[in-house]
Amino acid sequence: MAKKKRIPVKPDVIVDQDDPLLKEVIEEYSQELPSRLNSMADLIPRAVSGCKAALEKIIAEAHKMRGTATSFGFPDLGAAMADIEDLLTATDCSAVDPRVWMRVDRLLWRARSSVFDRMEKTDAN
Amino acid sequence: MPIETVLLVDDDAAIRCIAEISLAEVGKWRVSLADSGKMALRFLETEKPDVILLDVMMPGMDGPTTFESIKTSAKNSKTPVIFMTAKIQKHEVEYYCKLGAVGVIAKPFDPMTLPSQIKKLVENSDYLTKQIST
Repeated sequence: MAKKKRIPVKPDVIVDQDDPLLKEVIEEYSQELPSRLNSMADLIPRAVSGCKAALEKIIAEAHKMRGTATSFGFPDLGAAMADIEDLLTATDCSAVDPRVWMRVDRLLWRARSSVFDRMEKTDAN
Repeated sequence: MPIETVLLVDDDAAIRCIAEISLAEVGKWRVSLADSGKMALRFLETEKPDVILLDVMMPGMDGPTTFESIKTSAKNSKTPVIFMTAKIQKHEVEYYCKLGAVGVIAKPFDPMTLPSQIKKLVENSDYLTKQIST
């Protein structure tokens, strides 16, 4: 069966984090990101060992951030979450491919680094 | 048909927050918010917004199920509904439009242009309705 072509998530949404209209909500969103990403990372070992609830939580959180991160000025995070969601929704929890989890782990690590770097730069300014 | 009031239905607080700012400050519209399909239907029993923005994936009653109920309501059966979703495929857009939605907006959206996207979809739908009826 032919694979369905996905309409790419718009890569051209560029949000000005300093826009006065959005600054406050962006800051609130930014401050929650580290704990959300850490919680995702904490769920991975449980999902790897077959816990369906943990897998579903990771997918749900990836889906949420896929849909919001770019609107709040974190396009790299949004793209990483899209990749994570797509990887995991193609995965059957009972037949975990370790390579999938390695990719998820790498994507999440990169997402966390980009968020923490961004926040450090903002604090420094 | 000029848009003055919008109902936004989304279970994600961050989306409700940034969309509300976008629709109210950029679109200059009166915005009502619902965090679930159930809450939206309760609101729509007495109110008639000019357009409804409906998230697809929501826990409990999802967007399409909520839309089916809206279509049968006395007050809002003709109210334009636009779906919003973070995961979109071409056949899904066609499906939602076949259900009766005037369009689908992909997340993430640009908060500065969201109102103009909505206006365009509603205006196109008004134009098509007029063409069919003439």
